Amino acid sequence: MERLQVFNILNHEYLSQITLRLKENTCLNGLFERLKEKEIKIKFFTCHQQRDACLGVTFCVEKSYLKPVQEILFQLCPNEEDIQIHKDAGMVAIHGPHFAEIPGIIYMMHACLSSEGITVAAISTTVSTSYFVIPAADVVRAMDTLKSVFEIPRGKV
Amino acid sequence: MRLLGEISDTMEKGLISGIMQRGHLEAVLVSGVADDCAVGKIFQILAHQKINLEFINQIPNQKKNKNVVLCVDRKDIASTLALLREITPEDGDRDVRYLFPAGILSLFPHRESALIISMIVQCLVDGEIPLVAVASSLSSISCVVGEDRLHDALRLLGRNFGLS
Repeated sequence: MERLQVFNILNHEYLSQITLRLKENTCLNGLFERLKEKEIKIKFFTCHQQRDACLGVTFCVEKSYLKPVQEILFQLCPNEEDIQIHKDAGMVAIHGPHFAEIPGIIYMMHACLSSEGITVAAISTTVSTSYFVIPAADVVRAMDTLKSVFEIPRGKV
Repeated sequence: MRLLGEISDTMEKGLISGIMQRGHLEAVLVSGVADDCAVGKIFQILAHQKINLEFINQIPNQKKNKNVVLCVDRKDIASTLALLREITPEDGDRDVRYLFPAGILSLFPHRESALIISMIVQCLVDGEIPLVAVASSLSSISCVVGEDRLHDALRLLGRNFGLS
């Protein structure tokens, strides 16, 4: 089968994933202001309003920054039930020119990972890039299977 | 792509290269999807009908299920809802909910910046514009807002971000 050409494929194996349930958007603003003060890069971020009107948020940071992030979280979100943390997360991403023109790229990417039994914890898709958060231990396997479906320019991986 | 140049003197500037706006969309929330297989089925059935997803995000909910927000072109909304309801019957925790006419504002680049996320949220809070969904990548950050507030959101973001 002919592989679909993309610009690049990205991956990260050393992340921690944080999922929050916030009752007010203003908490989100405060959280990211504090993360900015600590100069913590946000490797993955997505959020949406849920059925119960709370804001569901998932973001990833470098694993080495998890401790300061936890300190900020426990100050701003005292209800621990609203915080889920996965210490060992990874990420794969496809950066390609076709997202607006070719329906089904997300399906291809998702099916590719599912066929290997790789769990997808979160997805974020923008104009030309799709990020999938997966277990850190599965990143190498995910890259191998994505390369079987997507053609990446030589020297990009 | 529409570029904005108005810069606030009162707020620390988040420098961006530009903003792209896209309207004529419809937003849908699919809640309580059991597992990856069920999420995959959603993508599969829409892909087979050649329905392009202009925006997607998926996050886990408290019950360890998955919630998905999708945006499709207005011409595709009737068939999208019919297909989603066919594969996701509204029983128990699963639910397909049409949200409203929507637009997307994408800011370039994002560069993993917590400042940009914080400023976008602050702009929308200040403007009392409901934050429907946000997705980010290294190159951009995209916000879904109601289409009726798209121009308000664009004006607020333009006032608070500077062009690099």
